[in-house]
Amino acid sequence: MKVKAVIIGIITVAVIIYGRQPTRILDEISMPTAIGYDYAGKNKVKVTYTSTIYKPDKSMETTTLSAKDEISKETLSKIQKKSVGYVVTGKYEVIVYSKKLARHGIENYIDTLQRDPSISENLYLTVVDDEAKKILDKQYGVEDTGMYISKLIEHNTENGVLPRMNLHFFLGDYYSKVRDPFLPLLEQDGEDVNIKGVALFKGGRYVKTLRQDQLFTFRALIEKVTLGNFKVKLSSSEYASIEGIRTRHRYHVRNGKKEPEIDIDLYVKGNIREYQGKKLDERKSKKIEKKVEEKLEKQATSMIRSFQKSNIDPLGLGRQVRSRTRDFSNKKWREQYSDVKVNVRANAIITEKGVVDGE
Amino acid sequence: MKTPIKEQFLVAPFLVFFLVHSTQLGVGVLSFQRDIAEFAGQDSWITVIVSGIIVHVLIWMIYTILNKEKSSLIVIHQNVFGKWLGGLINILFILHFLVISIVVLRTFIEVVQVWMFPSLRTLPLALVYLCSVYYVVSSGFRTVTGVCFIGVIFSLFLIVTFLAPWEFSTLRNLLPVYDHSFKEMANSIKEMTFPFIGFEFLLMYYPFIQKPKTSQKWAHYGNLATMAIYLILMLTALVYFEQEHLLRTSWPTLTMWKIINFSFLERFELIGIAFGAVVVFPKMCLVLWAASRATKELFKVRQIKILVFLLSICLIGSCILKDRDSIDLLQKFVSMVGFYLSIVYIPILFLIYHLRFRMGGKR
Repeated sequence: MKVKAVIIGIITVAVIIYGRQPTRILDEISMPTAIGYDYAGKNKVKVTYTSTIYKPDKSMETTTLSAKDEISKETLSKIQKKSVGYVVTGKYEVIVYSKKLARHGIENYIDTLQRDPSISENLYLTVVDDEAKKILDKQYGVEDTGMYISKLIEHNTENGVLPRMNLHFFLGDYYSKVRDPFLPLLEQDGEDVNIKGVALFKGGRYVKTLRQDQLFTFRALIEKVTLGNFKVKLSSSEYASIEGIRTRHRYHVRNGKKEPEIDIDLYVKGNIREYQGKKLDERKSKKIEKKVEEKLEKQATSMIRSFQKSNIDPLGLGRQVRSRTRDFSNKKWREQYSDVKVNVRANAIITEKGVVDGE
Repeated sequence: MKTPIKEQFLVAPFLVFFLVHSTQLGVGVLSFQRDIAEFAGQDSWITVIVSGIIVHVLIWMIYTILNKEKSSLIVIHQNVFGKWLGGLINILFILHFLVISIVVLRTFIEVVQVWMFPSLRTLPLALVYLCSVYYVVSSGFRTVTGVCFIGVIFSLFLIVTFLAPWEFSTLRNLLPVYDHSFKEMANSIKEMTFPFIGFEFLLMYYPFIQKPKTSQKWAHYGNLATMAIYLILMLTALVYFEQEHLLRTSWPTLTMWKIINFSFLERFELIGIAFGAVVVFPKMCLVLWAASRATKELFKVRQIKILVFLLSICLIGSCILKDRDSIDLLQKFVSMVGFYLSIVYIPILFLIYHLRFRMGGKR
């Protein structure tokens, strides 16, 4: 009996002594929500950590700290030396890469995001048209900067034309041999942040930009769009705005083994939201449908053409072909890609015209 | 030579479901997707089904032997192969059980160290864990069964959490179906044995089941449940990850949890890992119970003493394994040994046993 008690005592003491873990009290740690990466010379990066301090009177203050180093995790330990509280990585919401850094390639800086288990896969990666530090130094509205940008992207994804993007999708596309990644492109617009378009990547390098007005088509080719806006020009003074209630696409691949040929059918069902002409009758709405189809086809075709020219595949055409071809060869596909024939057929239906009728 | 177990130590036949199921689910569930997908790519889910069916057949074989013999593996070996060869194989099995327990414990601690507490040492956690195992195993087989039961029930809800990654998935990743050669599929099936290991413990605890013949269907149901869980996890991983991404992910099951976040809970995997302790614990208990029971039957020593000895080896073993590579190496080794001892050896035993039984009659 005595022996047992002694053993239990020893084990308890050993566990207490050796098993202690540092405590992390929420008020005593610093949780950056937005991280900015700026180019700082060859192989060097300047990292900006933005965190928010919540004051006792319920007001808040955003602080930013920056450090330079070759390797991004090392900047964190440099930041620790400047920060009042211990800096943790668990609350990252947004990563902002500067345009210059993205042009040089972000391969070296995404490894840590994936390796660190406390970083969420639901993190948004973005590219900013300017310096990352500049955009993070500012406080937007009454919101914490990281939360602000993350909400901006989130609502534009849910109700807008921005395709779904987060760390998980980025990593998947980045490693995939049949797709290339893309990230939202932000810009600072006075007091606000604006989504300027989409930055297309080849591997880890930013190579091409899609403008805002191309996003509807871009997204429709990748996934289903709900509630996106689309503008068509009928004549020099007549415009109509369609709200895409639902789009869907269908890919057909012919002759996948030898020389693949891809047909894309695009279906758009939408309501007219605004119309600047005189009378919106049957004939007119047919004309609008036709215009929508024309514009979609034209945009999609030229978009895909330009992707093929720069040899990037953000739409995942390779994945479409792979999933329909037995014994698919990545290498052969990459060689063929820029010459693959892609036909886009759009099919638009105007379902409703809103709550006014006639003149 | 066999001593029938007293009635009060027996467990009801339906509990075999929980015994089989919880011993199969171990640490393999955290990472098996990658190992399989390395060979079979998008067809990995077929591998899971085929392996599950193979294990069903093996369970049937085990029952045909056990229903005649009505004793444990140790006695069967001695009957079939004689004292020395049988004893040798028995020792091999005991070592195998012991190494399984080390791998399970160390891998789980590794997960805790990587995902939750980077500065945590192996020793304290292993000590706490093994003390709990001692407590359960020393209370007898009925307690072990109880732990298995609770382990399954407690962790049941976790399967619902794997619906979340489907929101971010691409179903197209599963196509084209069956685009791999027979050799690739065979290799992947071989890899799939480690997650399914655990059913062979039936050979040890069979004498502890009331009306053991009726328990066969429960063993099959248990295996079916395991297969279903693996199938869900495999399909989820395949549609959630791009293939190249999956091959770079060490613990796909845990990484899939990273996508879940609630406004009040930023990291779901912490809860998942905490429940992992409940999932892994029954397996540890049953494996060490089986190892100590086998040693007891073989060498006729007291089970408690041998248990303490085995636990200390387990503790030392898990503390010796320092890094990812050595753990991985041992896991590969166990996986290989497990493949030969259960998938290859059991059919051989089945053949030899029935041949001898038919030719020589019952001795």
